[in-house]
Amino acid sequence: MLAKLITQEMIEECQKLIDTSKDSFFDDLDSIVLKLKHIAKDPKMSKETVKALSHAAADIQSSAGLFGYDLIAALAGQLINLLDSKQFDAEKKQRLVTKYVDALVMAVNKRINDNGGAVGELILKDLAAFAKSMK
Amino acid sequence: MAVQPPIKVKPLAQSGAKLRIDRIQVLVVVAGDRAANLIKAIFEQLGFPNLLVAHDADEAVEMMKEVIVDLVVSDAEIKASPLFNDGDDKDDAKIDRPNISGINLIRHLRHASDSPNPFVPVIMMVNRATEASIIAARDAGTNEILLKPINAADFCQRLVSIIDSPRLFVTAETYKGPDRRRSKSVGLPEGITVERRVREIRLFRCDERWRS
Repeated sequence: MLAKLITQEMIEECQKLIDTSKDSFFDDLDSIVLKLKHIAKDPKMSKETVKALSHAAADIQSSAGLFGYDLIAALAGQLINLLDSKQFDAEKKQRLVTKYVDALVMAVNKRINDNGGAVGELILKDLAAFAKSMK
Repeated sequence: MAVQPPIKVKPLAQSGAKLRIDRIQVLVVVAGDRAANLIKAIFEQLGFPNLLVAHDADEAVEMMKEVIVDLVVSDAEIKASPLFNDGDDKDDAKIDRPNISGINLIRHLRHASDSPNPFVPVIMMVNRATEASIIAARDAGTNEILLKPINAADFCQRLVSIIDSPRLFVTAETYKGPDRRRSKSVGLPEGITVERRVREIRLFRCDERWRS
């Protein structure tokens, strides 16, 4: 029976692992989003660039999601969708990617928790409108 | 509607046999390395030594073709692939739509004719804010849903539930997966069949792999 094998101490140790990861989340992300910003400057949006951006965004999205940083997870998720999209040429895609990366950098710099409330909503609406205008 | 009599299944928890965690093969499906490492660390802390990590649905299915996986823990939001998304190109309206390829992965596992294991127990990590995703995960045949943000107590509770008290696997016209009803006292509505095979597989596995 698994219930008998999992002790309260084990659960507490697991929670410590989660808490430690959550505590260092933003500090870890500082360097990643700067790297993202640098990679996003590629005007050609080459396959390598898209792959590197997608990889970093997936890393951000999944960990942000685990810890409940919903706005950051949503921004990273939308960035992944955008990178996968075939609806934009390289130039438009690069402009859009830059916009999303800037939003991510801002959300990380401001340590925005949860969904960011009204500000978060505004950021997502602004990005959606920008994407629509690029089409 | 006619109701079939309840099917009696002895929960593993009542069997008295010793569970062998070291024989349980877990597959973690999470897009990012950081999150995957955390989930792995939690499993290791709980004594599960056999852990595989896949970063997308394709990789998960490929791994399951190579290795017998006893338990899948998947994020609902993993990277899409042509096989597991809805097949449409993403337009601007879809960029802001949550990606639920993890749920599509479970649909594939439950329904595809070439599924490596339609009966595999699945814990799906779903965003608390997206109710539609929670319902979709349940209807796709997920055994246990773990809401994000995760905490250790909920994580362990889902694990205990899935291993100690597995639910019957039912096949209906519109659904294939664990019985969504928690009550064991009611029978099955007409038209729903229980895959007894899953019991046999699970019990066999338990005898051969999970227990000493």
